[in-house]
Amino acid sequence: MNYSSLNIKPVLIKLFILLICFSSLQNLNAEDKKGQFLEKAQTKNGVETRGAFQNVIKQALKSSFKIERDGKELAYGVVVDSKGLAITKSSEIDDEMTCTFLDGHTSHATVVHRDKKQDLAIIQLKEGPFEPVKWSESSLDIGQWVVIPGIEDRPISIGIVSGGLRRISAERGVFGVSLNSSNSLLVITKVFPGTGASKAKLKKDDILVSIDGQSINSKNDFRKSLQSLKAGDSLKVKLKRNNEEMTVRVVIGYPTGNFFSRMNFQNQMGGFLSTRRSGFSSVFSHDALLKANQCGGVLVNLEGEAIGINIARASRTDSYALPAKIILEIIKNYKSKQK
Amino acid sequence: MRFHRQYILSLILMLSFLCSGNFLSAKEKPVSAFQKKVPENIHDLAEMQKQIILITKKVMPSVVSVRIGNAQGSGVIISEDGYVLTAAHVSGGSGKPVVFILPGGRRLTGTSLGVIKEYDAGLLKIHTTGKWPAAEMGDSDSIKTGDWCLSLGHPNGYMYSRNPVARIGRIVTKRENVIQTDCILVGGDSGGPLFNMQGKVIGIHSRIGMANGWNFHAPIAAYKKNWDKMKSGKPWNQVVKLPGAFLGVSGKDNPQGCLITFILEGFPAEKAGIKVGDIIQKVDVKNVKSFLELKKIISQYQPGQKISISVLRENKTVKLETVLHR
Repeated sequence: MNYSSLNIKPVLIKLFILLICFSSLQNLNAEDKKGQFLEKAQTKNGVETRGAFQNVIKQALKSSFKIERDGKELAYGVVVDSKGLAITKSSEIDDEMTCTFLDGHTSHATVVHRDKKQDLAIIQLKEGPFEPVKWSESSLDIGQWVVIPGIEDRPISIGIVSGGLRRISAERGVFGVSLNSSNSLLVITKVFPGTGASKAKLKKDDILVSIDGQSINSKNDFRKSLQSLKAGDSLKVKLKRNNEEMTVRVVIGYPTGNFFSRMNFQNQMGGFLSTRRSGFSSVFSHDALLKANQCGGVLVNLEGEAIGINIARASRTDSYALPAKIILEIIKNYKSKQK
Repeated sequence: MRFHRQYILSLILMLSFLCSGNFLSAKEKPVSAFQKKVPENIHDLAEMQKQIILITKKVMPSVVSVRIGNAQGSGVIISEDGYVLTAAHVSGGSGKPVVFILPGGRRLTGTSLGVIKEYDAGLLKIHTTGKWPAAEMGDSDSIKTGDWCLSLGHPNGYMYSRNPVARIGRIVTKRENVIQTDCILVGGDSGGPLFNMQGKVIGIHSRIGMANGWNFHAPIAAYKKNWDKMKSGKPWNQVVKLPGAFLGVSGKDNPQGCLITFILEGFPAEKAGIKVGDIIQKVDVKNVKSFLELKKIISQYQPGQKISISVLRENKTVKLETVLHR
């Protein structure tokens, strides 16, 4: 059974929604605006509306942090135990990072486990204090509020649960090179523009040595190493250029093409999407606006308990969240292996 | 006559008394969280949540996926005998076979009836016999800026494993021919319903703009007003034209051309370097004398086309170029 959205004979089907036309905007003059338009602060995600949720996130804020590297915001995360174990979205982060909390204290953190299947990383923070987040055990209702703490008093975003738990099939990824093998050397003959390979600055005549530690000697090896990968996954690629070995990180991209451009265009309106946004065994969706670099943290219900982790900004309308149950299982499995 | 006048006067007095009575009783009752400028506390949020969950459950069965030829969109059943509201640009006109998919996956067949293109309103009819789960039509005339509303539909197309997707938001503005909300929509949602907080249909999803707060819906009043016309299914006014190109300005008429008063961020006009206060005089070879004329000229281009614009800035003519937007 295929659950993917894109299996609906996409080439044949036009998904309809018109982009705004000129006439709707002719009255956007400043003098017109007053009174007739809802003040920005009072829109669904406006400052005043979010302010109403301030008390809801008080507890969760103590466990929430922002992840940065070299001054660049990468993701959010949340502390899950009193010894400083925490979780975040794996594909957005490197192995080392800096975490900043609401009270201003920062902590260095290191990845201790990556769950590629759920795109979740377990990280170890160094400097406390550590306040573990409280998880919700109640079931989800479509329409219930979701509130997303950042590291400010006001939530960064609010919305409702928009769709129940379902599987999001993986989309086959694209690496973006063509290869020639001779004398058990695998040489890149072309790097396709716009792909992960091109973004990682791979070049024609580079020789592939290994992928994620597995040595690559033939096209078959290469194919095998990519087999289980999905769009959004990343690989450590060791290569030889001018007799010098180097290692680069290549992110497997989503297949692109002419048909998808209009859909992609619409879905990217209002913000970029997560690099890894498919291949989840069970997520629910919500309509809270989220940037790709705001995933990895918790979302809470009106009781202030965490109902899940934001795992992807998936489209203009959807953010995906892994439910609390899956996260608790991953943490439990990790801990039992450490004993 | 005099008696009549007195009678009317006393009637007015009586009415005002009744009104003030209502007012008093409204004062005694706590104001609903939905009526407030913004919810004020957790109590308000809990009250809203209860209602949003309730109406989402109630209306969900009436929201359908609609397939007409190669087009796919959404729709809402509004009568037990199977009338379905959708957008004109999903329907495309009367007399076409339609496949409806109910939440849960059951497929029904029917045909398209009439469309009213200036509102982007379309009507469909299920022919499979049965009693269908219908949503109630509400009143779009009494909508106020700031009212809370709920969108349902099939964003990015129907998916077997997924029910119609819910989104909450507020009325950003409302005009006679269109409602704007911040209930976020995308391709595939077209034709889906916008509900008020009583779970009644007040609009049908029509189109979107760049910003997240730019989601436009055809008001339900358009369907009610043109009901018989659409129901007759006559090929009335049914040529649906896709919108033309988009520049992203608004302006005023000026003796020397069109004076630009507003520029939308991120749109072709901004990219071309047009500024508020510029007077657009020419688009390619065509002279511009009013805002309406500029609008007309631009709409004749296709999105993606390159144009050159002559503007008067500080008494100098400046030539600018840009690629028009969808």
